[in-house]
Amino acid sequence: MNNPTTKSLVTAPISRNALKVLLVDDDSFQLELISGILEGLGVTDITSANSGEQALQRLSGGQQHFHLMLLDLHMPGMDGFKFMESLTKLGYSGALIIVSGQSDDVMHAASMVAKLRRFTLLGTVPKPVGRAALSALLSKLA
Amino acid sequence: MVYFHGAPGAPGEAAVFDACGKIHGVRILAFDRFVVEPSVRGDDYYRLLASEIQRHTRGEKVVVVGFSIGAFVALQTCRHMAGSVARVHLVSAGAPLEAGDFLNAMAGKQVFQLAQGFPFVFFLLSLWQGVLARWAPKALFAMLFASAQGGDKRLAADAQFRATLIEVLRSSFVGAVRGYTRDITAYVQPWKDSLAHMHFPVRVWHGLQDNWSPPAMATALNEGLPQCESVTLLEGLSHYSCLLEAAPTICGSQCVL
Repeated sequence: MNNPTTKSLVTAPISRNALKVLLVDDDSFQLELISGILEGLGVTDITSANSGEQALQRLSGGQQHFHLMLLDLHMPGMDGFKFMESLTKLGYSGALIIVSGQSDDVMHAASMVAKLRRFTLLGTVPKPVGRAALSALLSKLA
Repeated sequence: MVYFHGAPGAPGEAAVFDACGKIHGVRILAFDRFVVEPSVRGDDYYRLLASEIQRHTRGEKVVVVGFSIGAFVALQTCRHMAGSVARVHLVSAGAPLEAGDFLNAMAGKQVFQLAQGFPFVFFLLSLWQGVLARWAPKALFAMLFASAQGGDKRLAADAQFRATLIEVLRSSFVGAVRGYTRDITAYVQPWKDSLAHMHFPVRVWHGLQDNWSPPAMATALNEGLPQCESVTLLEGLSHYSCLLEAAPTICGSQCVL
């Protein structure tokens, strides 16, 4: 797990059960796995999207505001890099965790792009996602 | 896809291309040009690079990416790869210095002027940069990024980016200075006329706040290259930040060639 040094991320702490989280991954097993871990960590408001396009639909509707997004890099169609580009255009202001089964250098490159795009990057987590890694990153936010 | 690094520069710059390439199944070739025997110069050098690329790709059509001064070397090399260049992407590219009044807008103005007028002094300066790269790489990084603007200013403040660039600078200046000076001294010579002979599709990507290669260079390349398909100018971005921004799109477009 890579935990970049971050400044204070939120001015007012959010309780975990008030946290709205969007998971973006084309693998339904991973979506269930991460949802389960998050629920175990006290997060209850979780929305899943199985593609970048679906995630953008959920975001662009303007009905929902997410505090945190967990993003897979390797997805068919719109990959995580292109998704971040679209996210910038939408003005997403929540936090981001990059989740991927790719190698460290891919994660490293993705985190540089995320920071260039001014996202509040909590860190990167390799797959399979572990509870401890996710908990450590989540504690920066709630 | 073949990546031509900048000068200073190293294949490590291509990390984002490599990352996107792994996701899209695109193979990235990035040569360290500075290790090529320093006595090989001019067209012999470009022919050597072209034959090395064709040896690795077995003559298949390739997409070429040239970054910064590497764009100049990429264009010259592609002239010797008749029929095997699918497209060239020029990112934060250096245009011919004689194609416009660029020097005053370039952070490396003094370096290029030395290379043009006093090549030996330029070589000594490069050796000194090599000493810094070996013993005080953070100081060298700070010197190079002192005037960073836009996205590059943000990147320069990021520890991950600093670590990547310091490694790139080490690779460029430590033990490879003659390779670096070969590229710079060739770049500062007039080469505008050669643009008319670049018969392959080219796309140009440039940050509007680039103060290493000013944005007017993108216009000059567009005017000089007979098959320039597009110029994408990126608001708020500078030299390296343009590379990070353009890489995912360039890599993604590979899949629909």
